[in-house]
Amino acid sequence: METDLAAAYVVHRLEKALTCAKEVFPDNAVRILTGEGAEVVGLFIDGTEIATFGPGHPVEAADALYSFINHLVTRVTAEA
Amino acid sequence: MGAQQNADLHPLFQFRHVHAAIQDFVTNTGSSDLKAAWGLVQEVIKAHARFYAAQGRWDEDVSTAKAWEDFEMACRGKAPPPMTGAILFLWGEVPPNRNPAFVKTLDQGFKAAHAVTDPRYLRYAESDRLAPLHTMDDDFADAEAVPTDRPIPKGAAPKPNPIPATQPRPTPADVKTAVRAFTVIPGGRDGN
Repeated sequence: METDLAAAYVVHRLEKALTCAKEVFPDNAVRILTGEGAEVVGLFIDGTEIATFGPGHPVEAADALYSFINHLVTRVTAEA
Repeated sequence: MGAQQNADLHPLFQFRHVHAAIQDFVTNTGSSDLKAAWGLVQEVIKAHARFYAAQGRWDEDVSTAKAWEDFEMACRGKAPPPMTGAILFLWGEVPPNRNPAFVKTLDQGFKAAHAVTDPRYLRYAESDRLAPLHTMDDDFADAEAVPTDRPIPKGAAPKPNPIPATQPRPTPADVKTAVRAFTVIPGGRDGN
């Protein structure tokens, strides 16, 4: 990644995504895995791939994963 | 709608009609870019379905049908950014001279699906399901439709709703070591 700031942003974004996902999966093994220098990021629940984003710029991939999780968590929380 | 009529309807959204309509359109258009965009849209829908299924509230069939309901809301400009980004990406690859035909395709697909689906169990209100289909001339920024969980009662067991073939899912190790197909959702940023 080209800057430390970008790397810090990606880490922060993925941490937020993980926290968000755990809100609706409190009893599951929730993992966010990265590959290719964070150009690929994926959400796994109990070992099952839910969504993978990339390859692309790490910031874009992290944003996309966070957005995916955040909006679905909001949706299922409202619907429950 | 009478009970007898409802008994003939499927409790799950019959998305296969929508899928078939779009698939035919994509095939007939013959654009590789459009085909790729359609593939990405289907991946986004499947990702939504996997998320729902992982919660354990719905099984795979129900989760898939619910995700396709989300897709319909995106087509009507009433979905959150991840699904809206997918439909915008698809629209972006429709040849401009085919825009009217694509709207007609979507309209026919959704009408065919609703003709055989019991509306009592759908997630979204009729007013949202009857909202106009959006095109690239629209901003896709309408208020999001709010879903409501309407459990399917026992005795109204879901009938088969074939899911388009899914690709094998990679293991976590695969993700760490392999470059996978591009699946970033365009427009997925939410500015938070």
